[in-house]
Order: sequence, then structure tokens, then C-alpha cells
Amino acid sequence: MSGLALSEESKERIVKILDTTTTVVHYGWIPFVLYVGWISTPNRPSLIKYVYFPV
Amino acid sequence: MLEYMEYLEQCFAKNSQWDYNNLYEHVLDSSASILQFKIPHGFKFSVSSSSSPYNYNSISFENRGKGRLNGSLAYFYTTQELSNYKTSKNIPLQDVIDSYRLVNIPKNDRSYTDNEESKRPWLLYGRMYLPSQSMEAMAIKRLTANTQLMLKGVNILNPTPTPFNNKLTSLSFYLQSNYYKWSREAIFLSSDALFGLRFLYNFGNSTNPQCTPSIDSNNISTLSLGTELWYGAMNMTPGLSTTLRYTSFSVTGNPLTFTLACNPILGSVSTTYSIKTNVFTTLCSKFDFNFYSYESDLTIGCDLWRFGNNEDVPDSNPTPLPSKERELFIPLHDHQLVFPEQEKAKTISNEPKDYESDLLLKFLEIQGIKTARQSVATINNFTQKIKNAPFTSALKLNTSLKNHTVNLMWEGKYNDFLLSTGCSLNLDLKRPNVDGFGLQIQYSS
Repeated sequence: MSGLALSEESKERIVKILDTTTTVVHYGWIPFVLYVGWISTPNRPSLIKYVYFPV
Repeated sequence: MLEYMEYLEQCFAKNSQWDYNNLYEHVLDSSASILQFKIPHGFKFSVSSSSSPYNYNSISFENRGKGRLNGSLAYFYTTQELSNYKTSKNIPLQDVIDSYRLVNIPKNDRSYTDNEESKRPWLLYGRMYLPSQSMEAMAIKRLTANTQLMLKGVNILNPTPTPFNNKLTSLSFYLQSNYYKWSREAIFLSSDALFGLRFLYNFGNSTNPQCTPSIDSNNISTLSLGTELWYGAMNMTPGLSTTLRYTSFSVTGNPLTFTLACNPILGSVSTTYSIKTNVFTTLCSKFDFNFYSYESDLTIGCDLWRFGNNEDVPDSNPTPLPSKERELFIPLHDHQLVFPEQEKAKTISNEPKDYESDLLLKFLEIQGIKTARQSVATINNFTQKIKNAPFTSALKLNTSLKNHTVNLMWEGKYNDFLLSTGCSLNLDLKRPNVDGFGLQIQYSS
């Protein structure tokens, strides 16, 4: 029984989609965590205190 | 010492009543904290802060020699207010230093109130390493009071560039169910298409409607049996291991843990024994044996805790029971307290009733209950002493017969900073040397 036959073109497209998704998640994850944290926090701190590091 | 983000994850688990000690992955934690601690390499400094009770961030710098400075930037968000969060100034050291785990599995399943049900907490975490730009991500979502879904991801750019692959991406999914009687984990790791199942079953835990967080006579001892099964779909390799853990308290209230782990595929058997001899000290030993190669190894280790202020020092030993009462008290592994008098009662009851023996039995029964209560009080007292002790530093030490190395680590607090330093000494007779040395400094506000 043969498996699902994919053309070379389809394989390349799938690899490209996966690569793009990985890149988007890679650079978008931390901004996403910051955005969700910012909109969901009841008493929002100042933006500077939120993103930077007060010592 | 726990990293800042690991500490936050623990705060999240404690706050949402999630017991990691009841998961198979953590069944060997007590011995691993002493015999397999991680010595810092190079110099690492991290500054962390909480911008709100829901948002936390951390920045760290690391120099591992060769003149290169690496860093990382991390953000953490949770929908649940971390009320138990403490800054490095106020944090008790026993919360951030990995040591003996006091296993106290509750006898009731957790359940949410109507208010909590609508707010099942979740957690988001992201860390970017610089200048490599590698990324680490984690998300945890509580599905029910006893089930959670965990997603972890790592994307490493250019680890060792090759013509075929210049990045490494790995995703792992964990579906965890954690009940008082058993726990279960279903795992999928994308890197090798690895499927895993983990189970842990606690013997003898009985449901008690009046469950209290303190130790009572029903959970003095816990016997747990766990196993894990792995299957790598890509290379069709199986994996299997099984572990037995017995935790209890000695008659003087000292907690002790015995484990027996076996991996039949690799042919390894290992036993560990850890005991907290007093508030300041834990001793641990481990014996490994491989029944395919007949190789064996013995590892021993200890940790020693220190107080800064002599006035706050609690009694190092638990209050021992009077010797007469000690004879009467026999804790059993099946979470029951059986007294010799009760056994006597069974045998004597078949004989013709005698007024004097009846009186004696009643006296012994009362004495037995009194002894049991005193023992539970002794254990609770000792446990509280460990939890509330104002420790200022801890020294860990381990060595093994096979490797001829001594690993040393000192962890402590200086002003508002958490420090961790250690080294690995190679005691080879021909070329003794220091294999690794490092210092880690953490500050959080």
C-alpha cells in the first residue's frame, strides 16, 4: 500500500509554510506574552515599568 | 538554586494547589537534589522584578569564559495572582534551594468552587537568549482542578550549522492528571516523534472528608509505585522504567524516603535512601547496579543548612518520644497506626473475660491513642520547624566511588542577593584538579 503521494512542489510549499510559522512564533511569542499580560492585567502598571527592569 | 522563572512556576503550582511530588517525573527528587545538583559554570547575574502580581520579568547576563557575554530576556504572565511570591530580600531559602521533599499527598481530590471554576488559571512564559536569538516558550493551562495541559517549545538557531540543518526546533506536549490516589501523564515530544505515558499510584491513601493540610495519622507513610513507557515513532525504539517510592517518618519524627528504580531495557537498578536527620542536615545514599555489564557505583551526599542569628535557631532535633511510649508506637506503611495492644486485644479477646485484663486493655488503648497523637504532633512540629526556619545558607556535597570526584555547592543569601557557587574536584591520584567552578547571583524585587 503506497502512502500519500505528494509532488515535489507541494513538499516544498509545506516546508516553506512550516518555516514561516516557526519564524513567526519565534519572534512573536514574547510580544504575544507581553500583549496578553498587558490587556488582561486589572491594575496596569506604567508601560516603562511593565517592559523594562526597575532595579 | 532555582532560577527566577522556575521559582515563579513553583509559586503558580502552589497557588493553584498543584502537587508536583505526586507526578512520576518528580519521584526521585529528594535524592536528586543532593546527589545530582547542578553546579553553576562561569559567572551569571540576573535581575528580576514583578511589575504587577500577574506580570514578571527577568534579565540575565552570563559569562562562560572565552570572553563572550551571553544574556537572556524573559517574561512571565499568569492569570492567577501569585500571592505567595516573595522578593529575594524576603524569600525563605528553603523555597529556592532544592532539597529533601516533604511528600504530603492530600487525601482528597482538589475541587474548584464555582468562582474558581470560571477562572481556571493559565501561565505564559517566554525567554529569548542573546546574541544567539534562541527562544524558549512555555504555556500551562489548567483544564480542571486535577488536570492541566502543558506546552513547551525550544527553537535553537544555528546550534552547530550543517549543510542540512541550521536550526533545532522541539515542541513537547504534556497532558497531566493529578489525583490524590494516582497521577497520569501523556507526553508527545516532536523532536523524535516520541510518545510517552507515565503513571503513579499511591497505595493505601484513604479518603478523609476532613482533610487538613497538616500531617495526620493517615498519611504518615506513603507508598507509591510508578512507571513510564516511551515509544519513538521515528526510530521505533521503546523505553520503560519503573520506580517504587516509600516515604515515612521515623519514631523521632525524622522524614525519610526510600526509592527503588529499575530500567529493564538498559538493565539498571538503583536504590536511594534519604533521611533528614535533623532540621539542619539531610543524608543521602544511592547504589546503582547494571545487570548486563555488572557495573556498580555508590554515591553518597549530604546537605548542611545554617542559621545566621543564633536567637532564631530552633531545636535541631525533633522532640523524642519517651522510651516507654516509643515501644508502643509502630507506624505501618499502609497509612494505619497499629499498636501492640490492639494486636494483644485480638488474641486476648478469645479467652474467658477477666475484669483485670479488660481494665488493662482499656488502659493500653488509651495509652496507644495518646502515643499516636503525640507522634503526629512531633512530626507536625518537626515539619513546621523545617518550613519556618530562618536559614541563611546551605552547603551541599556529594561524591561517588566510580568517578573519584567531589562536588561542592554553597547557596545562600547576602544582603538582598541570592548567591550560588560551587566546584567539582577531581581526586584522580595522578592529576587532581578542579573541573568546574561558577558563581551565580540573583536579585529580584
